[in-house]
Amino acid sequence: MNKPWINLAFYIVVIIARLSRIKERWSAPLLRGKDWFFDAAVPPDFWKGPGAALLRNYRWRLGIPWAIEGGILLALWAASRLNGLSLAALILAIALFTRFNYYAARVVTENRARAFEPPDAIQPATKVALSLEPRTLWNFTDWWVEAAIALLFGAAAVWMIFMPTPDPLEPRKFIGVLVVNIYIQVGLLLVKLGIIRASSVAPADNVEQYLAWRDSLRRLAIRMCDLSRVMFALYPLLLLCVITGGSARLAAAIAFGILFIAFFIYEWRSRLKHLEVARCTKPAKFPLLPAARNARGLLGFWPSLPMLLLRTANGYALNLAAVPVRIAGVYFAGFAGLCVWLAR
Amino acid sequence: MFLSIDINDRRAIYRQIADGIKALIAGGQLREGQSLPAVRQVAADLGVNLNTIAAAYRDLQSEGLIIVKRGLGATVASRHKNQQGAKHSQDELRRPLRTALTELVLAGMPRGQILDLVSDELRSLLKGTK
Repeated sequence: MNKPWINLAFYIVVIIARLSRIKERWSAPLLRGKDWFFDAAVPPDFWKGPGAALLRNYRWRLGIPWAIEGGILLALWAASRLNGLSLAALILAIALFTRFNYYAARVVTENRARAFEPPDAIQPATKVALSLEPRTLWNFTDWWVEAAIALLFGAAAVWMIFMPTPDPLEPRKFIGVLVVNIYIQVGLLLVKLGIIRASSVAPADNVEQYLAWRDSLRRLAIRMCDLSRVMFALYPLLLLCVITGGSARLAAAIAFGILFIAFFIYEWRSRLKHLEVARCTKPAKFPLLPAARNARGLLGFWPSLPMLLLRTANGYALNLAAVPVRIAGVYFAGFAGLCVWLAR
Repeated sequence: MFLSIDINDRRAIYRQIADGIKALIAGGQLREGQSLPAVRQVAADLGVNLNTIAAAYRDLQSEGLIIVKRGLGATVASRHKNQQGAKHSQDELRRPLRTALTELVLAGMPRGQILDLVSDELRSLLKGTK
């Protein structure tokens, strides 16, 4: 199996892995049935008139990343730059953009749907409840995942020390790959910490079900984060297989394909379980915080509030004063510095 | 185990948090040595300033109900120590009870109804205790 075929096979596997999310997002506005458009309660005649147009608009918006991806793929192919690295970068960038685009499409169309919401459909909860269970990184650590990551890094290091590859990979470059990978692991751990600490409050009249949904969402996101960490930890070992060439490369491609499919099935099943919980949970409205009542735009600076995202009248705004923003700034600056240092 | 906050309540949020945790300790839902969530977690959940939660925790600490250790978070203190402390301040403990009873009498509630109310509240408070 030569390199272009491996790239093509990898791309096809990625497309297949995305199918479940496409299906989920396609029907996301109708998750709770015809009485809802996402979290907005809608009247019975909504789907005959404005609802159909809104749903169409939302689905058109979901197609934007595909159009961009197709265009970039064609451009790369025309410029003969379609290789493993450019493909991986494209997949990563499109994955991030797809997520952002979904949230944007959701917020825009949901806000429009709220205009048709009957006035007494959902009253903002004036009494809220929160769980007193401490949520720490330690409580959400899966030691099997940590062991798998340590094992993968250890195996790659042992391979590099005792079974030198027939070049062109110098040990220094390989150490660079390991360092970058460890840095990415730290970044993903920070993301996991953010997921754990994300706000979780429930309306007092539906505490248990609402918090069960929040917990299910949190656990799903953490599982995905851990799976991503395992996949990244696999990279140095895969790289060594690819560099070694011959049967090692083929074995690596097959093993990676099998693992990817196993992870995909696992993710799909976890997501279906979560959707079951989400389907039964009645959405709740919470009163806007005084600081966010007059907020306009996607960014704001609220030093007195600890949250990263604040709900505003039009959706959400990023709190630039939140600690995670500062940590992310330092992290990305460090990453840029690391890349410059390694390039030397 | 949940803590409820009412936005329309006349009490400040920090007071509601302190009272809510106190009730959970009194009711036995929060036991000695049990960890409480970090100030940052509660503040992020409720969307309030860190100082609001820190004030509630400080109040509970000064009353000897929780122990706050820097970097390790807060845990529920021993009830035994609190009971010893309470022996010396019976008058202090009676004062809020008297205030609440005065309010009920002024509201025109008959004696029997007040006793039923107190009894109900006490029963629901002590639901979780052994």
